Parts: sequence; C-alpha cells; structure tokens
Amino acid sequence: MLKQYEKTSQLEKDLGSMSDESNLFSFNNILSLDEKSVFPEQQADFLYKLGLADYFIPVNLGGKLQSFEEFISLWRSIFRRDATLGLGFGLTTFMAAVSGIYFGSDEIKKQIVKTIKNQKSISVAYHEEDHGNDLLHAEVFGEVTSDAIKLTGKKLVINNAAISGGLTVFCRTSQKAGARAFSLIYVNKENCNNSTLNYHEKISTLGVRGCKISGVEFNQTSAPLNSIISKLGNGLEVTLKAFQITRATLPGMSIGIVDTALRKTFEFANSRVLYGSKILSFTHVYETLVDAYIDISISDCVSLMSARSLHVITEQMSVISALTKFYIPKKLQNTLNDLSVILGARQYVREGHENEYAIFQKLMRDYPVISLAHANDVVCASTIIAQLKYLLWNNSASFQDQSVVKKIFSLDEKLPEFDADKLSISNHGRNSILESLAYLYHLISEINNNKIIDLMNDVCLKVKSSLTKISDSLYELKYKIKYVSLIIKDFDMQAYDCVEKYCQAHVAISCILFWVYNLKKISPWFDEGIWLVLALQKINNNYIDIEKEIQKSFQNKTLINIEYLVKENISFSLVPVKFQ
Amino acid sequence: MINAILPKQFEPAQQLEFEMGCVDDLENIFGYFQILKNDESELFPEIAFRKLGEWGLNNFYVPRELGGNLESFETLFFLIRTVTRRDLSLAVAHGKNYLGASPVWVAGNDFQKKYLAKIIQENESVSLGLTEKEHGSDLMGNELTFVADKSNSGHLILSGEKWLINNATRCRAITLYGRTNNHKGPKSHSLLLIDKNQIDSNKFQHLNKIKTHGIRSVDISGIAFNNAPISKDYIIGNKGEGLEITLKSLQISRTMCSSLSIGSMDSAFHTVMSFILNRKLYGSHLYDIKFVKENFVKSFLMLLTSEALAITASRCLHVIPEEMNLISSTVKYFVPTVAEKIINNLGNILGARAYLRGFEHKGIYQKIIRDNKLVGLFDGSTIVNLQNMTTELSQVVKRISGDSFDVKKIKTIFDLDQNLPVFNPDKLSLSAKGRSFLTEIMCFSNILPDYNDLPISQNISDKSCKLIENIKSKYWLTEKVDKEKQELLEQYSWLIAITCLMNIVNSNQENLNKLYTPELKACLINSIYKLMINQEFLDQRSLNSIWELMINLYKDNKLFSLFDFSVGKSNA
Repeated sequence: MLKQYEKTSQLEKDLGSMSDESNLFSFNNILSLDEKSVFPEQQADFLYKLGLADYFIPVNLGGKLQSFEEFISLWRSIFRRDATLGLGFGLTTFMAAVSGIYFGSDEIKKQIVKTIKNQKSISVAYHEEDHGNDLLHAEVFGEVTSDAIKLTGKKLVINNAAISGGLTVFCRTSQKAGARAFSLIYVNKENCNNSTLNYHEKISTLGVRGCKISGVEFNQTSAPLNSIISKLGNGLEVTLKAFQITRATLPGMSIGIVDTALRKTFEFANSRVLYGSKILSFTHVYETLVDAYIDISISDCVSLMSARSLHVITEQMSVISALTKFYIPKKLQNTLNDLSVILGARQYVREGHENEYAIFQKLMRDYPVISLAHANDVVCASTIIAQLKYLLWNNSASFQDQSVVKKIFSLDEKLPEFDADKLSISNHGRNSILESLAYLYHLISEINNNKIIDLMNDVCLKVKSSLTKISDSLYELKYKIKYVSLIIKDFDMQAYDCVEKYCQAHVAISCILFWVYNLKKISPWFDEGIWLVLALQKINNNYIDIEKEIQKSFQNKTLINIEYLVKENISFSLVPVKFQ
Repeated sequence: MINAILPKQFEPAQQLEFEMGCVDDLENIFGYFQILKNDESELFPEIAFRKLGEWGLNNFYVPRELGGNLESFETLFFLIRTVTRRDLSLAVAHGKNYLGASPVWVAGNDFQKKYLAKIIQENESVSLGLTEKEHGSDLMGNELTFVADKSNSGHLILSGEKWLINNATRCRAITLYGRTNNHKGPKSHSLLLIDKNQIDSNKFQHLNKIKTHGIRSVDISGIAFNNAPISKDYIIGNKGEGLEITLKSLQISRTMCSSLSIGSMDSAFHTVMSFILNRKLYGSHLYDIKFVKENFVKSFLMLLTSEALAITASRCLHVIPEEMNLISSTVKYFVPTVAEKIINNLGNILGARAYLRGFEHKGIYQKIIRDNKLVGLFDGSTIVNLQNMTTELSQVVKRISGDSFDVKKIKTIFDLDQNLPVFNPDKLSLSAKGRSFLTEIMCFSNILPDYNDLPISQNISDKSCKLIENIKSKYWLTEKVDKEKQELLEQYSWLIAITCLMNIVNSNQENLNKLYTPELKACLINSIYKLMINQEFLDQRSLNSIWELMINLYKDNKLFSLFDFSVGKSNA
C-alpha cells in the first residue's frame, strides 16, 4: 500500500462499519442526530481522541499535517460517514486556521495551535448577510487605534460562531476604495472582551442540520494589534491565497459522501426485484452506476492532482484550486441526482426502520453545502476567466520540466514540504499540467513500445487519439476566448462555457497523467485503463470515440469491478483502501 | 391596443388565487410564513385543507355529468397549479382526491360514480392505494389480494398492505389495486372502491405516518387489511381489468401532475425574482450580472414551453384521448425534469439562501426543492415514462406521414376559445398504435399556410424529420432505455414542447397576456429553439426583450405565464 494511505486505512478501522448498529458512527445514529438537528458530539470527541485535530497543524508547528493528499484522504473517511461531522469538527476549523498558520506571525500561529490543541474549533468569518462572499463590499469594520483594533458589525451564517475558541475575521480597515482596504484578524476569544460579542441564534439549514451555524455581531470588540494576520491591508491577498489551499482540498473530501451514495445504491440495485429481475440488470440502472463510479474516479484524479500540485507547483494554484472547486462539486451533485433516480421512493423516506436506504436523503441534503460553502462554480469560473487569455496564449511556456509533472502524478514520489510563501494570486500564464500535452503522446507510445505492462492496445490507441482531440479543443478555445470580456459584470454563459472547456482539458490530461505515471503501483484494474477510457468520454464525449460493443464490454467490466469493491468493502477511490 | 382576457377555463383558478391572498402576508394560512411553519413541524395543514373544501375545490374533482364542476382538464390543471404555487404539500394532499377518484371516473359504473361523487362533494377524501413496499412501479407484482369468499359468493376477502400511500389514514374511501387471481399476466389484478365505513374496523388498520424528505406535513402512511370482506359490487370495471384501468387513469394523472411541477416553478420564480431585484453583488444589482440574467431568462423560456405542453396535453385529453399514452408519458417525463433543472438553476442564483430554512432567509426555497423532488418519483418515474415513449414511438415512426392530418384539429387543440368535446374515458387506449397528431404537426407544420412565413417552423420540421429518421434507424424497441435513447427522447420532447408553444402563441391573441406582441412571440420561440435545440447562446437583444417582459409581468402582479393571470392581490 502507498504510505500516504496507511493512516486512512487505520482510521477506517478505528471508525468501524456504518452498518453496525452498536457503532457510534452507524447510519442510524447519524440519521437520528440529523433528525434532531443535533451535532454529533460523541463522534467529535472520538475524533479528538484519535488525534485528528492535529492534522490542522503542520508538522513544523507540532501537528501532523504533512501531506495534503493524506489529509484529504483522512477527511474523506469522515465524510463517508457524516458531512455534519466533517464540516463541524474539521473543515471550518481548517478553513479558519489556514490563513493564520501560513501567513500569521509566530504569536498568531502559537495561539491558533493552542486553541486547536485545547479541542476548540475556530470559525471562519467572511460571510455577511447583505454581501454574501462579495469581499470587496464587506462592511464589518476594524478601527485601528494605537494599541488595538476594534471590530464593529455582523457576520452571518458562520459555523461554530458561538462555541469556537477563535474567529478569523475579514474586515474593512480603511475607507479608501481598492483592494488594500481590508485585513484579516484572528480574534482569540480568550484575549478579548466576550461581552462585546453577540451571537445570533442557530440558523437552521437544509442539510448538515446538526452544524452549529449562527452568526456573530461585534460591538467595538477589541483585539490586540498583533491579531492582524500578515499586515494591515493585506486581507484580500492573504484571503485569496488561503482560499487556494481550501478550494484545492475541500472538494476531494466531499467524494466520501458520494462513495456512500454509490455503495448504498448498488446494494439496492443488487437486491431489488422488479418485473421479475434484479434492477441491476436494467440498462439505465447499470449505466448510471457505472457512470457514478467513473465520476468518482475522475473527481479523485482532480483532487489528487490538486492536493499534490499544492506541494509541487504551489505558484500555479490560483487556477488549479479554482478549477478543482469549480469542477468537482457540480459534477458530483449531478452524480447524486442520477443515483437518486435508481432509488425511487427510497430516496424520499427518512426513517431507518422503514427504509434501509434512509441515509440517502441526508446525503442529498448535505452535499449542496460543498458547492455553496466557500465559492460556488460561478465565482470559481470568474477567477479562471480572468487568467484564461494569458494561459491560452502564453507561448513562453515552451520548456516543460517533465520531472515536475512526474513528481505531481507519481503517487510513490515523496511530496516536498508545502511552502505557503510560494502561493501566488496569478499563474502568470503557466499550467505545467496542460503543458505536458507536448510530450504525453510520446510517453504513451513509450509505454506501448516497451510493453511495460500487458496493456490492451485498444486503450493506448484510444488515449492517444484523445490527446489530439484535447489539443484541438484548446486550440479552438484560444480563438473563442478573444470574444469574451473579463469584467465580472459581463461574465456570461459564453465565458462560463470557455472555462468549462478549459477545465475539461485539464481534468482529462490529469487523468491520463495519473495512469501513465502509476502503472504497476496500484491495481490490475487501474492498469487495464478501462476506467480511463470511460473517464475521458465522460469528461467530454468529443474527446474519445468508443464503438458500441466495446462500450458495452467496458461497462460490464466496470460493473464487475464495482461489485467486487462493494463485496470486499473497498473504497471507490483511485487508490483503493480496504474498510473494516 | 391589444386586449387581454383570461380564458374562461382558467377563471376558477383566478378566483381561488384571489381567495388565497398574498403569499408574503405573515398571517395568511396560504402565505409562505405559515406554510413553512407547518412544514417544519410536519403538521397537516388542516385549516388550509378545510378552506379549500369550503371554497369548493372538491367539486372540481367531480365531472359536470355527475353534478360536479369539472369540465375541462385545463381548469383542473390551473387550479392545482395555483395551490402548488403556495404549497405543493397542500396541493398533493388535496389533489389526491382526483387521483383516487379517476379509476372510477374512467371505468366505474353509475352506482359507483354516484357513490364516489357524493363522498367527494361532502368534502371527504378518497385515496389511491396502488403501491406496495416490495413492488414499487411493478404493478403486476403486487401482492395484496382479493380472494373469493367461500361463504358468500357476493363478496371478496381482502388481505394485504399498501405502503407509502398519500391520505391512507385521513381518507374515507380508497381505490385499491389488488390481485384477484394467481395467473401471471395482465389480467391478474382488479381495482376496488373501498369505503372504510363499510369495513369492519377490526379488519383493517392504518400504518404509521412515514417521515419523508419533502411533503413533510402530508399524510403519507399506509393501510393493512386482514381478511376484510367487501362486496363485489365495488369492483371497478370488470374483474381482472385492474391493470388496464390503472394504466388509463395514469394517462390522466401523468398529464395533471404537470401542474405540480409548474406550480413549483412558479413558486421558485416568485422567490428568486424578488431576490434578484433587491440584491446587490460586486457593486451591481444581481440582474445586471449577465450570467444571472441569462440563467433567469433561459429558465423563464423553459417554463413557458412547459406550460404550453401541459395545456396542450390537457386539451388533448378531450380531443385525442386515444393518443394520450404517448402524450401523457412525454409530459410526465419532460415537465418534472425541466422543473428540477429550473429549480436548481434559480437556487444557484439564490446562493446560500437556497440552503437556509428560516423564513427570513427565503426559507421557502429549500421546501420547494424538497417538495418538488416528489413529482418525478410517483405515477411513473422518468424511466417508466421513457420506456412508454419508446414503445409508442417505435410505431409512430413507421406510420408517420405529412400526407393527411386534420388541420381543423390544430384549431380545436390550440385555440383556447374553442369548446372542447366532453371528456370520454372510453376512448382512452393503451396504445395509439402509431397515430400521433402532435408528432405529425411537429414534423410537417411548415407546410401549413399559417406557418410558411415562419422560418422557425421550417427549422423545427427539419430537425424533427431528422430525429424521426434517426429513431427509425436504431434497434429501437428491442433494447431497454439507455443513455443514447434517452438523448433522442429528450430531443423529441423539446421539439414537441416547442411545437406546442409555437401553436399556442399563433392560435391565440386576446387569450394571452397583452405583453406578448407578435415580435415578442417570435422572439420567444426563436430563443427557446436556439437555446435548447441548437445549444447556442442568446443574443443580447432577445435577452433584454425577454427580461423586460419578465419585469413587466412582475410589476403588474402577473404570473410568469402566457396567460393574463393575476397573483396575490385582487385587481378589483
């Protein structure tokens, strides 16, 4: 097993089976907490005991966060069981801590580490009622005096606002117009007058019902000057960089939700008899299951690519992180919708004793928070569109360092330590992954010629032909983009379409690169490459042509693989992890 | 100056709308605040339910011939749509009466019809007991049985359970589907009209309310019978005709279900429109962001197209009842699918507010999302309907020709002033065996004099003929519904729906809202065709014209509809 997955394997053992009624993490326990809109406190305590909160803290600050790939994999196991727990125990704390940990002074780092070690959450306070996530219009104001910064205003829809040990607050610190009018403050509740903090009552939500989402009103809340993360006026820049880390990592964790959905839907399809047959034998049913599995495989590639790129091509993360957050949540939401059709009425019944698939309606309600929280697809698309012309027309990227790309995609290569200082708010026209198109054809030919593995010639041929189609689509895009405006007000469906096409190309290349660089390291199923061919088709069905008989055969083999994974209790991820 | 008159068949709905008052009024039991409260607490909307009865909605579930008010299905469509715009839960709870009654209207004898009419007009409920836990849509698999009573040849003995049945507990009567013989095949089941008052209370029990994802306040429960005797007089139609009668009743209910989808869309538009007009983001109004406007306008066009299809289908029940298998399945596949897309799209515009449950945070929206999901699930899921369409179309493509279709029928169907023939359920048929009037006009309306000037009709006809050829060339019937087939059926549905839109706007003038000038009508049809068939983007001029139309409708307190329907406050 690849080393970075050992801890996940152990975690899966520790968390146990969801079908086991006596288990803290059983479906019925999780469902009943959700019904009552109660946070899973016991489950959170268990995670604290396992030391999982240490993963919010980098190793060099005394924590366990070393590889984002490992981090995402661990949280995926939590999300497999309960998104409420994933979000409330971890994610929002991680999102809040990231800016202080990577851009704050030593004092702030110390305080954040202390809060987390004290088993307290940290809240991330950007969102305001009238401005959503439109940061440039934030109204919460931080008045800087000679020895303090005084906050006034309201932040709403903030997870854990009332119970957290601290808040990372985005506020306006100058009345001048422009990007330097904002700062990020780490408000340590131990260091401020708590009577100036007024908490909103719990805001009830469609999903993650147990999360303690509320809001906070600051009434001249005073925080010491050294609470300013980085420098006064750096709020926007730090935020954009911190967001790169969270946008790159959050979507991959959410795959856990869909893993559970596919698992349960498969079980249903394999047991439900209609018109005298198991519905698994119906064409639309098995096609949907196969599609869902391929969607998960694709999303996994994107997530892994993103997590590892954070370490290796940190300076290119502005586009890659936006792409990850753009692509995965939307795709997996569709996957869930498609799976729900198979379940029929059983997606609609909430009670476990009436319906052993009752967890599904919770998954459906929980998942949208992944796209909603923290920049939806449109916001991410507008991040990308601003750089798209440069990315497509940058001819100076003629030298490609293959070893860089190899390091990203070879899962057995050790990742360099993450250096936040390398984050940049622009890719400056570089995308090393897409640039690999220049030599990918050759790489695949090499594989075929050297017979590194007994591959189906079919797969190699098809993948090579897709490279041409992907190139063509990028070429077309170069000219389409000339007609698209970069101003956010002008952002339209045409611009969105351009972003989508660019992302598809990047995602497709990522999938191919994973395959090329990990042969004989994962599993025979992985090496065979059927998943890759189906993935390329799913990403954009113009990328690849599959004859009808071959399509059927590939679908069949994928179905057999799904059946095997369900039976053996193995994850649907690219790198399989055995569950308890 | 164009005058606008609401077609008289929609008048009852207009009156009901005024009766139900303003959705934003906090005290109003038909307002979003109270409705949301009910939903949170999962309490049945007793008062609202009763008020609907007092207003006389029940009478619209009973055909005119039996002393009720139901004449045209368009009337029923718009009534349920109007209730759904407030609360889909309420619409489903109340409108269930029609679903429960329809097998009797379709195949019952005079005695049964009068019996049921009386029950409904006394404001009691009738439910439909079709599905069972283990069998879902597999009606022939159902296990509840009606066995011959050895001690009384005039009786059947009833045993078994029905699960996930709307109103199972609250209803007085239930139209029950059960097995009357053990042979495999379509003649194995029958339908019975069960009056609970006539059954020994020891012999049946209500099952507990089942907690559901949406329609939380509705009585979704079940009923179990334990050797209960029932007179054979209550067999609807003949013994063994259960499946056939059910399938025919489903042709009506699948068509009428569109009112739930469209009412949900109405709700969604109302909520998001007010949000768009008041919300600023990135320094502009939300509606000034082109992406937002495009999405909103596109969704509006999809809504109008769905409305056109639904109204057309309602009228077809009267004019071409024998073709309703294909039409009802098309409606049941298309409209709920479009509704889900639109409700998602508009939800994206709302952003975080689509996720919050508090009233002050547009909490009604998450209820709309959950409630609306129901429509695609019952009375034939997407797949069941696609399968149906497949079967019918396989014959249609062999028979279709532009040689002779009844041009007069176009006027009867699409001109809303034309009187409809009385609905004759005897003409419902399990298959039209290749006849499809709508498919024919979709393919060949370009040859009609009225449409010669419209280049769009040429486009529609060309695309449609190509589609038919495409369908012909595939191994259509032998294989089950797969992705490829689904894509073709989706295209078929859009072309049919756009054809309906084109014909309705061309056949009516004063019947439509006065804002629909000839230029705007052409713009609408061209735009939806461009968007959905050609997968192109809207041009700026069309975008602005249609947005302006939407603003004007909203400011005039009009429903987002082709028709001049007022919402909320009475204009009197």
